[in-house]
Amino acid sequence: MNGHPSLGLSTPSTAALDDPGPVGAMLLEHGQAGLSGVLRVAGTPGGTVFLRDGLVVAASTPASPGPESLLLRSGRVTEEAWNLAFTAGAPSGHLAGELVERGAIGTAGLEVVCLSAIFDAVFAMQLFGVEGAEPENTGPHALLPPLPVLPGVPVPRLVRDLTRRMAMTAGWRDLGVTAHCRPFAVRPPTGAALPAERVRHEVLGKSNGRRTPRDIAFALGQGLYVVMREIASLADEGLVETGPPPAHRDAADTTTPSETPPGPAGLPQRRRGTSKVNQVLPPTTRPLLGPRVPLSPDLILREEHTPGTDSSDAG
Amino acid sequence: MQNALLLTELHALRDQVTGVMESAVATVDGLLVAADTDGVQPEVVSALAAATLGLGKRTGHEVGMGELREVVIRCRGGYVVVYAVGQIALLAVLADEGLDVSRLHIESRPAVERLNTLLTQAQSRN
Repeated sequence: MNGHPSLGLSTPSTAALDDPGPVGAMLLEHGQAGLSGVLRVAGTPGGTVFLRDGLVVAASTPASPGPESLLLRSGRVTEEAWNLAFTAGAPSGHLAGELVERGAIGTAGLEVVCLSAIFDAVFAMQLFGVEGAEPENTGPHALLPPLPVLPGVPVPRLVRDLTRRMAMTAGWRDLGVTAHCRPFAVRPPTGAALPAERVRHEVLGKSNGRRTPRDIAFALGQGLYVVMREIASLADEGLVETGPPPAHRDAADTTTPSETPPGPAGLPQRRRGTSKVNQVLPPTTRPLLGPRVPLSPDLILREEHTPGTDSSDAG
Repeated sequence: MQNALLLTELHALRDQVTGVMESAVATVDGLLVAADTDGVQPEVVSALAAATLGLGKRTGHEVGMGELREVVIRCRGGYVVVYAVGQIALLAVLADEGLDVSRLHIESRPAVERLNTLLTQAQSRN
């Protein structure tokens, strides 16, 4: 057996690797059939897998960050570079080329991100649970998501990695690290992180008892699997706890306006002066009922040039 | 306690819909009633959501598209969705860009209904 299955550092047992799981089985079936189209996976939340000639070119799910989130949230690509490249390249399906041409990211770096997004999405769908899948044959020229991996990932390679990740994840369950856990840091992260520990440090910083691993992955622009592995490692060292958080510990939960008037209704009501808006706005010297038109030099000059009329009647 | 029930609804929405991060219930004129928030200031969200809802209703009415369903704001980092809760209140939902939008629209309808019941009960009881 494994020495430290919980850390995901060792090889899981081979029995677990033989079972492709529901998503793996669907992918193998449609990959072998050479599907060119879309596989709509039903589940909570499910997702979509795009195939061309039986190769997986893209996969998206609400359960894991897609290429755009991975690139932008992590700061790998700047917002400005993305916007320019998207405007220029997305309508013609050349977003990847535009990003590389503009020097926003290298070809290899981009491909790694897009590939890992596919692996992560398939893993996330399986981890969150699926109920079935609906294949739709759209042909090889159908519209693809913005950053596809072409010609695509062979399904057996994807499924091998999927089963490996599922086996690792199964080992983390003993630590309380699941897709639905909400880890919270035992103590806040201190000091500057070493570059090699940046992700780990950031995961710790986002573990506040509210966010699931998936939420942390989106917040950081990192893969779901990577984040879960960090949480498992942090939990193993006792730096985060994944048990039921102390009754929704965030202070905002108890929010009720402190100055709720004891009025008849159950809903808060406005009271004059409680917004304190006058403390924020700059003080005005204008009398409240005075003229709104500022007496700029222009107007005064014009008034002087209006002969024979009283200034109050001008205009 | 009514506020606890409202919070239970907000927590349930966050649990059920992938991508929902924070939410708040406010009156239509922007006063905070209950919030399940993390980083944002709930009072600010309430006030802005009230303005958003009013603008959405008015725009929909002006262009003759009928009753407002919800206002969806999509930003680089996620979504802000504002629902009317009856005639008296609103629900503002903040979600990240991975939000399961279709799931939110399915789950939020009954949630809005339940919030409305809770709020009208509270109003009539007093």
